[in-house]
Amino acid sequence: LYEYFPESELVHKALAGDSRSFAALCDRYRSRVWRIISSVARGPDVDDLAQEAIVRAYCALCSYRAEASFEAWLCRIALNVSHDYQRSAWKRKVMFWQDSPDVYDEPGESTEDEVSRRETQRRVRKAVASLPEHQRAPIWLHFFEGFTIAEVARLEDISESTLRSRVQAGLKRLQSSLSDLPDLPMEAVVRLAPESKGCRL
Amino acid sequence: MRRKNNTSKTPDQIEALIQQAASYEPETEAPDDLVARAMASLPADVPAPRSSARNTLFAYGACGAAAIVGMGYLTAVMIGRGNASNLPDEFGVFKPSYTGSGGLGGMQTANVEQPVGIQEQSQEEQVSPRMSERPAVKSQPDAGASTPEAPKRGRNEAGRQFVPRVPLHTETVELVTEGLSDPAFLQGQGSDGETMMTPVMVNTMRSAEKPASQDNEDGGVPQLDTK
Repeated sequence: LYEYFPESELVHKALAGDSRSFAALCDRYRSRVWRIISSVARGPDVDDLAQEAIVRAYCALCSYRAEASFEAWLCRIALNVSHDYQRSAWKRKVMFWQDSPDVYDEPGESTEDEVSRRETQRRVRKAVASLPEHQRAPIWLHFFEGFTIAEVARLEDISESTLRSRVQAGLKRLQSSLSDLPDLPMEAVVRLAPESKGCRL
Repeated sequence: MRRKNNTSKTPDQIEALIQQAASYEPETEAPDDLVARAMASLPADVPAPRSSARNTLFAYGACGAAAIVGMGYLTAVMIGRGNASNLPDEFGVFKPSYTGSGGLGGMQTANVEQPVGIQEQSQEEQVSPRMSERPAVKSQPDAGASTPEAPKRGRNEAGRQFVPRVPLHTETVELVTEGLSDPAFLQGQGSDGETMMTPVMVNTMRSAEKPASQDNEDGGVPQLDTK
């Protein structure tokens, strides 16, 4: 029954204390949460972290102002959970030795190129994760999760111009930290840009 | 193998790298019962969102009510503590009253109440139509009056010499004829036993036959002994 309710009604009921409406909302976006968590964790840790993100969201439901979408707000919490997981020393060590959970396969790609590409992706995600929070969250939500600048600005409760400047500052910092990576071929840049989930600044 | 270069990348290349890194999918799908298990794992002491908001509202309400009560109390204290002598009497005349409402000078005096007998007598005399028929009632010392302790002249703990403040104590002794007041001295005794005289203004009753200067032996200035 709850899956047919509009999101605004579910949000209203959840804010009024209806836990089933909150569960229905989270159930809609559980794939999003799962994907964010999977970018930093593997195996049973993903399940634990995803549950922790939902529990955190329930405990922090009073702070949700309903200005941004519930989906973006839930993704922000999942991002925080992922970052906390990444920040722990033990998990850093695990991430260092484990392969990144990528299944992005290029047709006709050699094994050497695939390994190089996965290493590049891991390095990029690690560099983004090492940014300060006020730059990391907008870049991740915009480029990785595909939310628009306006949505992220509403979620962060800042103006769009401020958010753009933060993203630009974060990209500039990434330029220096990723300067040793090999350049992508131009066709990859051209091909990736239109398919990108995020909007260009 | 791609060639590495250590030159700074353009923003387009950085964005392309980010987008390539973002284009991944998890190895496994999210389980269907993920949210149900998460909600079941909630601790029992986690309050519902509404209840915490209600608690916050209640806390704000309690603070506001306490602030209003406190301000009301302070206002009542600052406005003369409800002393009836600050109000005009039945004839619309304000009586002199310095009966201890604090004040700017910080003087501290004791509230003095008139004896019940005198008050009753005064009310009876007020309704009397003729001035000459009134009995000659002299000003009587206020039995309930008390003189506050006079501070000693001397040095304080810091060694500085200070001048004690003399508390000004004025009482309404009689209310027979309106608007008549005389200067007087209130005789009291300090804490060290010395006699101190405090200038006061008192309402006095004067008979119609005798002037006020002849009514009192010391020139019309009544001596009040408040001991």
